[in-house]
Amino acid sequence: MTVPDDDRAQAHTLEAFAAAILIVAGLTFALQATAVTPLSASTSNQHLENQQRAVANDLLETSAANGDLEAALLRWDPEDETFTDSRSPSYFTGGGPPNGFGAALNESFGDRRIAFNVHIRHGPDNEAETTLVSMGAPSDNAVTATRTVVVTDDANLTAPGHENTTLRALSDGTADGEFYATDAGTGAIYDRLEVRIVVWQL
Amino acid sequence: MAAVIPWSSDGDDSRFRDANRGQLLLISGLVVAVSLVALVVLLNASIYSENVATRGIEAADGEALEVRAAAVEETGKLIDGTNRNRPANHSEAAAAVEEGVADLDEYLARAYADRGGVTHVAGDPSSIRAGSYVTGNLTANGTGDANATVADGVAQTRGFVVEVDPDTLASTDAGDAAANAFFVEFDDGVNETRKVYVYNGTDDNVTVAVGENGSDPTVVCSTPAADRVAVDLTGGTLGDERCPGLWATSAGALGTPYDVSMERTGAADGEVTLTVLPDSGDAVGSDHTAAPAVYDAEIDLRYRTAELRFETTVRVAPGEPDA
Repeated sequence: MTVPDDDRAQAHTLEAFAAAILIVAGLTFALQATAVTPLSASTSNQHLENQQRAVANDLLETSAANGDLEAALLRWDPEDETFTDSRSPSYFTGGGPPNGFGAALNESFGDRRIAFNVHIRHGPDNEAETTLVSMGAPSDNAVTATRTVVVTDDANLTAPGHENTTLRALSDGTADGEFYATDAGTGAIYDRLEVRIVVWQL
Repeated sequence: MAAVIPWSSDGDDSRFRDANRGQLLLISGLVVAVSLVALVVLLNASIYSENVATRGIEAADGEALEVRAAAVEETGKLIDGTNRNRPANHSEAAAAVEEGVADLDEYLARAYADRGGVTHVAGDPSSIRAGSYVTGNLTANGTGDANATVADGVAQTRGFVVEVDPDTLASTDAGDAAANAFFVEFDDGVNETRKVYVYNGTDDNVTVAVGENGSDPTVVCSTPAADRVAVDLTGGTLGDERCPGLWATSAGALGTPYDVSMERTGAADGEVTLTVLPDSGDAVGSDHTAAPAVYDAEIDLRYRTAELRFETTVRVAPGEPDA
């Protein structure tokens, strides 16, 4: 009986290996099926975040290149100190502003159930902040993109009824009202406005 | 594992023993195969996870180019803004640009310090070239003459925009444009001329046609009429639309210096704006208002992070055509 016993041991060893593989495979499958990690397919998937960040960055670049972004930043009513033509609140809540930049935001994000906030940082150290669009508090998986736009002293506002008002006239008091940013630049430069888009999946 | 082939008790085991070996070999092969497949699947999953987790989040990914773009954009706006402020003379204009570049240096240093980058922007005063900023109504500010010299003795032109009022343009077609339409002429004095005609063409679309060396004008593009239509000769746009070939065919092959003039200004109303670099001296002759201006400037840019060192010198001349 010595020979059959030897064979038995070998068979048992193999059986143990097979069982171990089965258990590990079962565990792996169970973990894959239940645990939500940043890499699982979900609205918080990192791949989605990367894509949204790329879209937001590209949107800022193209809007800055064709002048839509600057026009949107200057759509300010200096007398009522609002972006929204004297309606309350002074920023937009349901979508982008009614101009080229807003249309691009709505097409890229709003129509795809992606929420966005747009904030503008300004002042000598970019310490002051003004809100252009606010759709609520971002989720933990929000992404941001920024672009700085330089505005000159002789830039005209684009808000209806204020197209002939320049930033210089507002800062030296020859026109009524106030721009949200102060004249922080030297010479012909008025200020650098840092536009920050926060984007998150609803 | 169960003994698939029962052991006989008669003592003759050798036949069954060989059969058992075969069975074991088969199972071993299966186990090895399954192990390999599992290994491949696991490796693939981990490689994919690593890939997705690190995709597109490189720290200095294009940051140096971002700094460069920011510096160039602001310097360009600074030069054009300074020119629009009509400085009294060239040294005042150059001083304003130098001061603005110094301020830009401070701003960029603060803005990038919190990202762990060190920036330095320096303007070279000797690189600032003096030019003329020419502006005015198409009709040469009311001299009454239908022809007007925009700039004489020009080496380079940038930011050449003619804004026309479509209501006042002559209605004609390409064949008769040479006889009826308003046009801008570039002439280098050695038998090379380029004429850019602007008129109301088919369906009252604002149309631009180009004629070279006295040849019949060819239409390059047209756009529907609006309150004011901007013909950007150096930028190659008409209204909001691209107009390929507008500059390349209008002044690309011209020798320098060349003269720029406008003729038949009775057939158009509007304004002209351009910045020119004189071939000699620091100003050009013009029937319009030619103010002292900065044509271009060079900035030295340095950007440094823990992983990256970037240095470059950029010439900034906003709105200058590539050709």
